[in-house]
Amino acid sequence: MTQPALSVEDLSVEIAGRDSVATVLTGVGLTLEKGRMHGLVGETGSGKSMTARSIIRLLPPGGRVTSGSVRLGNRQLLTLDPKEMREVRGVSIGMVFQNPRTALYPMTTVETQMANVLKAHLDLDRAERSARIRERLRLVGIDDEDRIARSYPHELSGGLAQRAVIATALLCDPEVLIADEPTTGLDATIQRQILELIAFLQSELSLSVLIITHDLGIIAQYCHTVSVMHDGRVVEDGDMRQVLLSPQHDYTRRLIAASDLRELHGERVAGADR
Amino acid sequence: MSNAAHNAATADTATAVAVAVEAMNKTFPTRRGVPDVVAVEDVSFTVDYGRTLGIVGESGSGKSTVARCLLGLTPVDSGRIEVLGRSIVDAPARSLRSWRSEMQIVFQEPYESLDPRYHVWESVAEPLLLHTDLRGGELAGRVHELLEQVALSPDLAGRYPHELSGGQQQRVNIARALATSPRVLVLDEPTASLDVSVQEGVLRLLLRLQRELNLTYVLISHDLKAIRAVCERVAVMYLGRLVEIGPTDEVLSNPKHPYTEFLIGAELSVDPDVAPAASVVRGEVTSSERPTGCVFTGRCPLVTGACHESQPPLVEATPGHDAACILVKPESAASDLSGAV
Repeated sequence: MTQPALSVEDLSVEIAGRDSVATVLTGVGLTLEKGRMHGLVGETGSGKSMTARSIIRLLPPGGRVTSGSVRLGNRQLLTLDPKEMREVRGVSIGMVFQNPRTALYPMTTVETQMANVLKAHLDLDRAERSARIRERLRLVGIDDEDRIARSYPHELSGGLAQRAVIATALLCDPEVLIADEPTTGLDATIQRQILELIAFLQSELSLSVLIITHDLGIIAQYCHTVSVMHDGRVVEDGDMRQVLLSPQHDYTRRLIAASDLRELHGERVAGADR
Repeated sequence: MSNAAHNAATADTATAVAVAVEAMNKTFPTRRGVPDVVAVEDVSFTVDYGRTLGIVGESGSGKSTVARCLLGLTPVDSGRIEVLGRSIVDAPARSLRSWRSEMQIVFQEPYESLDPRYHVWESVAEPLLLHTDLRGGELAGRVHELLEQVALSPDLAGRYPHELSGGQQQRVNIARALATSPRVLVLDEPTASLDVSVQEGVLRLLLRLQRELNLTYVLISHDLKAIRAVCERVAVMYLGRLVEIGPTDEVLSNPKHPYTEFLIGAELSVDPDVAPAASVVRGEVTSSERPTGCVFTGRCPLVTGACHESQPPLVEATPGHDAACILVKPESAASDLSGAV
């Protein structure tokens, strides 16, 4: 088996508060194979976003990794110095967050902020930067890339803004894309467009994608593998079909049952017949 | 609750229709030079007594404006709204206030809807102090009863909103809404911000309360799963217009409007073997550029020249199931539509 794109082993994280210390992750492990989409699913407080933040080492104040390892390819991320880590965040790992409008800086155009990313990490001249920005905007399905490049974030719809964020994340050819609730807050039809785009990028560019979501539907329709998180631990993981079609852990079973509300629908239909 | 209002409402339960909306219109003005936003246009529907109508649509569809207009929180520009047989359009604010005890709303954000300075007991008592003469022991008894109805432990009565989970907060909001014994509840995305495991509990509670108290619901939601679970009938809105309405299972399994079909197609099943529709709808809702003809022309894959001429009216496609698309011919066009998408 080839080396995974990203692997997390036995990761434990605690956050120090004013007068107590809370353990937020306990022995979390996950493996993202190259060119695959891995889903990290759980409810509020399950630790899924904390896992992502530990991977890119952007824990909230007071947060501390107490044990474990995070490997990107053959690099151990937890021991990199801050400068090396900045390169990892800028170049090797692309990040997409929930609210595209807050992920984009409101005071500058899409082009300016994309150019700033390129200036920080790659040695390109002006024309090369401009060409690459437009090429990435087309890649994410924006066909009037000149107009969008000149736009300010508030002039873009939610769907277009999220495409611009994804284009920015792809600027330096990352090995791994981490998408934290990339479609939460978007309308259903737009959610579908963004997920299709991420799936297209994953297969077309052989990108390795870690998608963090509360929505089992996204897992079932787009992921190859999945980790189910609950209370700071991974309660079940593995092949997506295996986990969703024959869940072993009680929490996974309850999450699946609650997700499609099928039981409730059945009760309503049965009640109507009476 | 005033006795007059109560009697009027009681008399009205004889008629089967609890909520009747006819040709509701609401436009919001914008700054000069920008076209006004047409939030609701020519919307008509009825909800039978003791039943649930779901209103589904994406942002900008006008579904929340409909909810606010139903309660008179936003005045309509034109149209008729009757709740329990009484018109709430042009009703003076004073009578609307007493009328509100008959009709209540539960909002999406359970925490934002509660006063952070009131603990649970005070929150639930507040509407009773405003709308009823209950005081002292009677008041306490009624608060206790309401907490019991929404399955909140009396131990939580002294807690403040921030000390409660999202599901508990929403139960407090439901208890508040029920305090004045309303007959109609408007539920505006009541579970949208809750975790899935909590959503089911809140929806289950709403269904039980409906049975026990014979309530009529209008459920606003973007979530087809929630709509399917609790609504007998569903109305689909797009850019302020009602494009399809009918029995939930019929509309969602046999959609007649291309937009409804896309909405269903965008749904992601938790069953890996149930794939979503292969086609993905292009574009986004654009309320700033309102099309002249059918509101869906900008995104519709079946659009023809005739679609740009005028907005098609709702036409009965199958019994009790109407859609506003020129391709819909009574009982006949079904195969054309599903074949082409």
